[in-house]
Amino acid sequence: RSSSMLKMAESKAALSFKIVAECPVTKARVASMALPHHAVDTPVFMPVGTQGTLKGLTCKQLEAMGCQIMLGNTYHLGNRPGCRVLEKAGGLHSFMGWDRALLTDSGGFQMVSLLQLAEITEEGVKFQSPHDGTEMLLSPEHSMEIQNSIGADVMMQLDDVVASTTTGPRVEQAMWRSVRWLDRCVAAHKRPDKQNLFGIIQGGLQADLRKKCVEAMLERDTPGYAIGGLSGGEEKDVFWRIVSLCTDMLPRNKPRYLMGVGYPVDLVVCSALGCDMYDCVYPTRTARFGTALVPWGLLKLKKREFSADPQPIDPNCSCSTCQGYSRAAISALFSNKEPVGCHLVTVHNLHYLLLLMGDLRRSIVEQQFPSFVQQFMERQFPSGGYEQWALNALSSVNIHLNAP
Amino acid sequence: QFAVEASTQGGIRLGKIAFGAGGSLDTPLCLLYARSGAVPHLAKDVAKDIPNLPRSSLFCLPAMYEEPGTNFASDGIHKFLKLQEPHFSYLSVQDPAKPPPHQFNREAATCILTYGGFQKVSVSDHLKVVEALRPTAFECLCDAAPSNSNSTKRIAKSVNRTLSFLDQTLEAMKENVVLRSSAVLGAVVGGCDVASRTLSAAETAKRPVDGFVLELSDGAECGVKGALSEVLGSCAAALPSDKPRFIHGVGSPAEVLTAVECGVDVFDGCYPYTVTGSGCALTFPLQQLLSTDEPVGGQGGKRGKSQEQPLAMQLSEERFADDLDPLVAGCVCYTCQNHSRAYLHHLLDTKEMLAEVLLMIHNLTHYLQFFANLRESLKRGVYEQWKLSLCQSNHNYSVPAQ
Repeated sequence: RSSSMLKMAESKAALSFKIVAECPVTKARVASMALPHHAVDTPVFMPVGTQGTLKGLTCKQLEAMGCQIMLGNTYHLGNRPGCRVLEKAGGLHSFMGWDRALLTDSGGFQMVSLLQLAEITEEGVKFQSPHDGTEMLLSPEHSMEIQNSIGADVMMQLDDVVASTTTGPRVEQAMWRSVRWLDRCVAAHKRPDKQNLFGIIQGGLQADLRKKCVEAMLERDTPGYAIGGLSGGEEKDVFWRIVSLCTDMLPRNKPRYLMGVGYPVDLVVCSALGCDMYDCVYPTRTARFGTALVPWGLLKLKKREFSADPQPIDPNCSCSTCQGYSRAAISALFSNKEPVGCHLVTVHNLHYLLLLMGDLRRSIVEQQFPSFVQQFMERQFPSGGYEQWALNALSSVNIHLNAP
Repeated sequence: QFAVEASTQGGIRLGKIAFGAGGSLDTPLCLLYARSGAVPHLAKDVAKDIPNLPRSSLFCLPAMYEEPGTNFASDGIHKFLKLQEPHFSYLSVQDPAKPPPHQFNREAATCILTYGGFQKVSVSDHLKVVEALRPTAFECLCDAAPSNSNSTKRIAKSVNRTLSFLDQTLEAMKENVVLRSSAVLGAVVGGCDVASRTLSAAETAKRPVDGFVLELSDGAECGVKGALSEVLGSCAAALPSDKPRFIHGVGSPAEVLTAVECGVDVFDGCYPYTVTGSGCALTFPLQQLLSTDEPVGGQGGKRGKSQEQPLAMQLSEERFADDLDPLVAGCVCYTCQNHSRAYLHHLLDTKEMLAEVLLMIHNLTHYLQFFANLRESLKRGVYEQWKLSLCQSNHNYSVPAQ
């Protein structure tokens, strides 16, 4: 452990996290995070570009909507195109033509969720190759190797993830193993001056385990920390308490990345609780099924009611989709199974979320965050019926929503 | 409205189509294939930077029939799609990129395949949609017999049915001022049978149509049989020279040149789409014409002797997995300026949608540049030299003998 700590101290910082404003009422804060490829304003939503592409959108379109950072998945990229091609191309940035920031996950989660025969041992995650069935191992060292080839600005440790609904000693076992694997990741990471390795806090839904994990991982002094093991079907009212507990314990001056969160309400509430970074496939995936995110909820564009609707998705939206296409035109594209329909709604949904986060950040800077939250919730749920967990979470940070 | 500005030797026409309020398109013209209202794979903000983009679209009935169909405010398709005017829209009967479902065609109706299934379309069904969409021009309902049909009966039926549909359409237009605001094009059918084709052309020419559509999707085998120029030549000879000739079912550069030499003016533009669908990028030489003093074929030699310039390259081939070169050196499209063959290979391998987006950008750019160069060579009177340099720069590129 001491040799890995020494190594961390020796490396130059590849990340700087400067707090720009803090909300005096809640735990929300705005920061500017400088990464090797691009600066990122937090709180930030990071779209997921699993296989080195964001589902039909060009990098130019992403830049045009102000996207500063996106995700790639190590498991997928390690298979295709694979390390050899990535290294020849000089890393994923160059390979996919994206010169802003990238974040890669460790590959562990995909492995466990995609591969039925995955077995987790102290060595790593054992699985059968989906191509030829041979037994393979994803170890912390191997994950670092692939992520070093990819070259993302932020890399995630390989962690031992258990479903948040798991109970019993497995949860604690996974938490301590994640700490040990963090040490191995730190030791194996070959480019700490160019890529930032984040630790991932585990411990399931047990406060005491989360506390122990935070204490242990803080000693490793990574440039940032993720709150992992949530967003897996646990009760929302338990979920937010664990999030809040973690943000209370994590250092103020390092980014906190809440993994797998992307519903608009969740983004707003968890920002109030002090989280800085989020990722989720939801907005892009739901777009491909014809569902548009709007300030007042959702529009399911494949439905009959939109087939003659001449309005854009959101008359107040300035995205290229709303400027150029009506709901009816998009509905017709989906009916005719034109892929461009998916792209159009993807553009809109991302634009909406990025704008939401921009408005959220601005409200914190202007010390107007509580009223931003109030207005956001009223707009999303005009007849009230706010979910109890959200009410509880917000009131824990001194926002008491008025019933409309 | 249509005007032929100049005609060169051998019946090639350099022309202009005037339409709407001040709209003008140069021919030979490649329409923008946009079947259900959008260029396949390309959002407007992605497509807008492609050079030589014509302000003209081909929509096809199968992709328009159910959605949007007639269930939207009848302001016409231009308003529905927020098209920037002046815009030339053309509604074809079948999807030129797909073989038409001829086997269900009947005396009173032609069959189209929509997303909902087969639909039988009579003249009155057809005209309801035309009336709602109000395209600048539309192809009259037609019955295209399959080209592999050796039955003279079937071919004769298709000629007669098509003429009958045309007469019914023209009759209906007399009573309907909305329909009359669209130009009507008569379809010339007849498979690979020269006599039937000539008959279809001559008879159609007797009617008061605004132009003609040479339906070759039924005669796809004409190219294989080497009879393409014979068939097209005989049609063109029977058609008046002052009206535009559209064509469906011809797309490869070799076929385009054959058709242009037979006097065809407007192409359906679905070729880049079908090439994209096969995971291919067009690489055939464009032979850009540089300054007016530059000899034709200037760029061919600069590419390097060892570089082949086949018609297209199949990017899923393993040899492209780590090829970091752009698709085509010197191509100005977004894809070639920003991405490599290796990346395209990866996108195809992982079945990612961006593969088709990037390929479509490239293929459309490349194909439209081909048409622009074709027109330029005609304007400068150097068509023969230009065509020769296309053949010379690559032995894989073959143009059928005249």
